[in-house]
Amino acid sequence: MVARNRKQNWGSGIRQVEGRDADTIQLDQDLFRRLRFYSSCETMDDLPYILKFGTEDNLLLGSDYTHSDQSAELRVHEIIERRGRDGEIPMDVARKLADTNARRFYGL
Amino acid sequence: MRIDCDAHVDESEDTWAFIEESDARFRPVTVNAAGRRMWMWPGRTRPRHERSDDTTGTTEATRTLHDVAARLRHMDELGIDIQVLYPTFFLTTPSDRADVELALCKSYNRWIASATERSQGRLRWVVVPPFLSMDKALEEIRWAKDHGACGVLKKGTEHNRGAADPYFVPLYEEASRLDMPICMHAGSGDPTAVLPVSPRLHTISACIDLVGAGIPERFPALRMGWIECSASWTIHVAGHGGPESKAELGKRNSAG
Repeated sequence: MVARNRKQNWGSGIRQVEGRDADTIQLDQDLFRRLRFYSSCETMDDLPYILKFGTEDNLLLGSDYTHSDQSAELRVHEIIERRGRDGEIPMDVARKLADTNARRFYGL
Repeated sequence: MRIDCDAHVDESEDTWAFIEESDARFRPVTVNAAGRRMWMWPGRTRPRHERSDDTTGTTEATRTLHDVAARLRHMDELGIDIQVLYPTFFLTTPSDRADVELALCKSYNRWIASATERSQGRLRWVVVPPFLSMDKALEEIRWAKDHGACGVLKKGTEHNRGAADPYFVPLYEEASRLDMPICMHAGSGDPTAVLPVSPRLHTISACIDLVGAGIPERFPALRMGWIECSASWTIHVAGHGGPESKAELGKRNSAG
């Protein structure tokens, strides 16, 4: 949809980025940390699997408070922390999702 | 500490009370259309949500910030220390008219700044920029930073411009300078709200636009977040690495 609406010359854009190999974009497990990307996650996400891809410092928790769609979970923090206590994910990672990642992302 | 990175408000008449008198004609009003409550403003109508307290677990007073103290008490019950607030109305771009968009955005930003002032720093918020007026958008971001905002709302596309469109470079530059992240919330940047795909996919696609155009490298201090898109998509961007992860995938698949 984006390409149809506005022609974007990705090729020249890639080559002009200093330090980047002319023909490749490195998609790797360090990408989120390297590019300072973050993503909220949901209780339905397969976190043990997702965390294998190096995003433990870049995931956030959101309750979708006010709304009632599939994302909404008022007790998302409790649920994720319980998964940490139960060993489904490391407890220190659960704390990152609940606290430190958000403080870094929002600059709190 | 527990930080809720994606909490919302429902806009009410209070939200539009900050529209300047010269723009009063742009103020959304509530109408009843065939038994359904709607917002109506120049060129647009949109459902005004009537939510169930039972289904949402919230109340009208907490959703609309009519009672900030009640919202904070509810956060205490949930064990949440801080919420970062996102709009509901602006999850779809409200207008293709610059004057209307500017009036609505300014009013929302001033309303939420005023309402969250009473929260002792527990309710932070993301600014809604008027994207059709980039100079005004930058002014709004600066104003918002000084009044409690901690992020800049954006969707994957805005007014049919992709996330890597050079039009947005001043926005990224100013957000980076002010140390405010770009918060890509699932939603529609099309004022007609007609999407052939899920709003989440729309927003996630912005990641590829941004990586391809080298935006993160161009602004090495800028943070960008994808909000309410779940996290399952991240494995495709982070990639499957090398043989090690493939072997693990094989084990996982054989284990069922």
